[in-house]
Amino acid sequence: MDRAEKLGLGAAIGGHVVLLGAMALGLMMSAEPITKPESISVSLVGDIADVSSAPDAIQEESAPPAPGETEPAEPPPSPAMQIERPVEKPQAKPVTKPLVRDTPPPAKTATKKVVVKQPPAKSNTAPAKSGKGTTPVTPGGFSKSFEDSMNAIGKAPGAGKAVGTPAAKSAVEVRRSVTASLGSQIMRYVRSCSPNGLDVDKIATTVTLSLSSDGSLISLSGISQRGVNENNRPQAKPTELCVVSAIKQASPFKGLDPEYHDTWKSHKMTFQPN
Amino acid sequence: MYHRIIYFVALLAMTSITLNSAFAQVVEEEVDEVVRYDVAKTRSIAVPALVAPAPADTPAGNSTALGRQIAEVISSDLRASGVFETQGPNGLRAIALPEVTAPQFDYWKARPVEQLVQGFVRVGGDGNLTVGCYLYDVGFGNETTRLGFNVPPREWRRAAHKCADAIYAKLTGELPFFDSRIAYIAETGPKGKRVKRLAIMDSDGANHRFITNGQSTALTPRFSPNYKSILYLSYVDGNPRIYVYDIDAGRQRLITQSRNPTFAPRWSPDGQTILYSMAVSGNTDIYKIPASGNGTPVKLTSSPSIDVGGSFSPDGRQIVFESDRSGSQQIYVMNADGSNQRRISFGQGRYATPEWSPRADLIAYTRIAGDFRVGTMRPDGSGERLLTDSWQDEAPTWAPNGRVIQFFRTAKASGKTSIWQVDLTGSNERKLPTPVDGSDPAWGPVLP
Amino acid sequence: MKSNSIKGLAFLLASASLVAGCGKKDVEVLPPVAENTNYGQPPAQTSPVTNTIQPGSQEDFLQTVGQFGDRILFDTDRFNVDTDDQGTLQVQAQWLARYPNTRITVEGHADERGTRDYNLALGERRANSAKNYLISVGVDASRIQTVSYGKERPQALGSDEQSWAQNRRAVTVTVQ
Repeated sequence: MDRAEKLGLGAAIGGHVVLLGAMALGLMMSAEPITKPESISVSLVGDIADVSSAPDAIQEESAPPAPGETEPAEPPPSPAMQIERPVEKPQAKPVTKPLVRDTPPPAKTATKKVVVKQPPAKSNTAPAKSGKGTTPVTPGGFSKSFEDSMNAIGKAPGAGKAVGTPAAKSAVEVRRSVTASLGSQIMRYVRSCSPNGLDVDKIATTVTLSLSSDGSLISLSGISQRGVNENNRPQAKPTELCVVSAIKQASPFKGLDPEYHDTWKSHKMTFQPN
Repeated sequence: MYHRIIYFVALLAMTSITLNSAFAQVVEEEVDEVVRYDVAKTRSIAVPALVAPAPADTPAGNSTALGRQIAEVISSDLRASGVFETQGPNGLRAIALPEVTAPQFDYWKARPVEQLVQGFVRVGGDGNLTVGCYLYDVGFGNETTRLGFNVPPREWRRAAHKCADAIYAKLTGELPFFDSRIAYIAETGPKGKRVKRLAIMDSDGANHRFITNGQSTALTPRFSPNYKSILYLSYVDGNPRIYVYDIDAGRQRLITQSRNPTFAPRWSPDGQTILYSMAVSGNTDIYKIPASGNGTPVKLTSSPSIDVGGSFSPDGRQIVFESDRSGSQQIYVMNADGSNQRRISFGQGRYATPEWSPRADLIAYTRIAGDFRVGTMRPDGSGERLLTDSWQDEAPTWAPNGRVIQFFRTAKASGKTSIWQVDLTGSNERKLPTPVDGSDPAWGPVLP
Repeated sequence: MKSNSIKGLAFLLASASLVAGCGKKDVEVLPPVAENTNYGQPPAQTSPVTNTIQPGSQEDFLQTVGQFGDRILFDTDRFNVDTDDQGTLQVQAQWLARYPNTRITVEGHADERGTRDYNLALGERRANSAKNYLISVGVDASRIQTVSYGKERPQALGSDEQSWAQNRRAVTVTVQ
């Protein structure tokens, strides 16, 4: 190779190294390996015993659960709600292998519980996430805090956010726990108004919630759908109206950590029938 | 020499773009988690008796009784659709007039029930009924829709069906279908000597009426789109002939004077054209003729095989039919002028009795592979779905909203027939109540 | 049983004669199908009232062609006249040659394991196959009418292969 070629090759290799290094770091920060989404069974009965004391932002519907809110016809522990996340497979690309193992246990713990109230849902995820930090992770240090998280989960089902090491949470962790929390509160309304029909399980309705720090809904925006086809077209609009109505009825939302309000004050969610 | 720099830089760029998009996708998935949920099988709806604020007698009964009967029909319709679990009117308390427009939501929420129908019946000075019905979302605490009708007392059932239709359409997104009528063949007698009579009824089986007396066999009826006449096949002169029966006049005429056997009559969606099958020297082909009776028949198929049946697409531009030109019964589509005939069924078995959905999206058929099963496919033949699983289910036709399919079921050995309906999703398979056995059901459009 | 079959045949002749009239005349009652499956068996000879069978009558026809000689059978979805069928039809043709003024209707039938419209078309095919063969062995076409009953008039009433095989038939009936 002549000089120019050597220059080019060096630049290319160097550029690759820099780029890959940055991406690896970036991965660490976002803490997510490249994997296919996998559903986690999170069994939630949707039975919220607490009476909300939050102000009546949108509408008055925050009453204690009427008997009909839980589904009498179906056994509660069945996976009534599933949150699909792009994580979990231990055999995922091993960019952040220790992190991968982190998330399945909280889910498994959740499925064992028959009733999951909001505080435990949060504390399940909080200690797990607390093992990750925004600082570059060394495998050894991470594993230790991971064990702490596991112990914390087992011990404190109702302890609230104080459980586990109080390290700062990443935005993604916060959003995921908010989705779980909001999802379970909205789900019991959306189930009963969502229309049945051919291919309704293909309709995914996305909406962005604008939330105040006390958990009340300020507004909804960015309503869109995908997966509408010739078979389910009649159900598209009623499904959208149902999701909107369900969100409004479920507000104000409980169990949202005001400390991270900046992260979840605008929260995008997608709902899809099974 | 410099081209190698460019090569390496380009490689770097492409690699980084690829990696970038992969990572970006991961980031995208991270924040857009999908909340999956099970849709409830039914929605609960309460239908208390409609209020008669100033009770008065009518030829159809006292308006207070009508208020209850209307609620019963609404409740039955909604329950029969399989979409709703209904409460009332039996077992529900009486509604006071002011509540009709200002429901006691807390009371209904506590039952619990999710949707609420309330309404009133008034008798006007002209003797007609004014029926108003309101649909409320109990959870949300507001009115979803309201509508009112003026009907002669004897048509009170239609007002009830219209209410039920509005409720059904609003909550499911589907088109209405309760306010419609069904023509079919009523059957009696032993298997070797069936008596077959033309009959009509409301979509829920009410207002049943026999049209023919059974002395000659009647088969395969079809309501005209304007409900004024019925096309059907009769052996009254000893041979299979197609007649148009004028319901009000009580008279019928032949659609064609040809002495050849004719059968399988069908209307075009606009009611202007009649499709029929005719056998000449043993060979059956499909023809069309103006419904008025003035005009010459047009031969649409001409293969030496059996080409029979036929169903127009809702826009009237295509016809789906059955033919055994391939060696067995299969489904074909052609243009309304007979051109571009092409086969669309390629699955396991034989395919017969194709019917185009009024929503244009699907074709219903009978699949014969040992047993006879009702199924649907797209107009290009893809997406086959079987909806029933019995010894002999055949001749599906569509409810006017393209969501419910009606067919008849024959019992093995006894040969007894009955009319059944099934939802497009394959659920809610139910038998339609008829006074005697029934076959060849055909559904008319929603009444205006 | 034997008087029933005589009554049945008499009824058949009476109503067949109605059909034989000018084409536009309405017929209110179709020829009834005999309850028993001995339709086609020659009637017993020892009737006290009518000891002789009238030549050229339906009775005579049935007696001549023999049991089940008035019909040919088909395989599922088929309408071809095989060699057995040819033999049966030839006997019919011979009888028809003896009574050149007799007209016939060939009824085409199908079994219940088919859809209604297709079976009407199939019955028509079968009737025409029999008719065409009769023409080919010398019966004048103007003497033969066809009618298809599809699956509407089963003779054997079971839901099994045996019954279905009997119902896939083309039956020749004289018109008096």
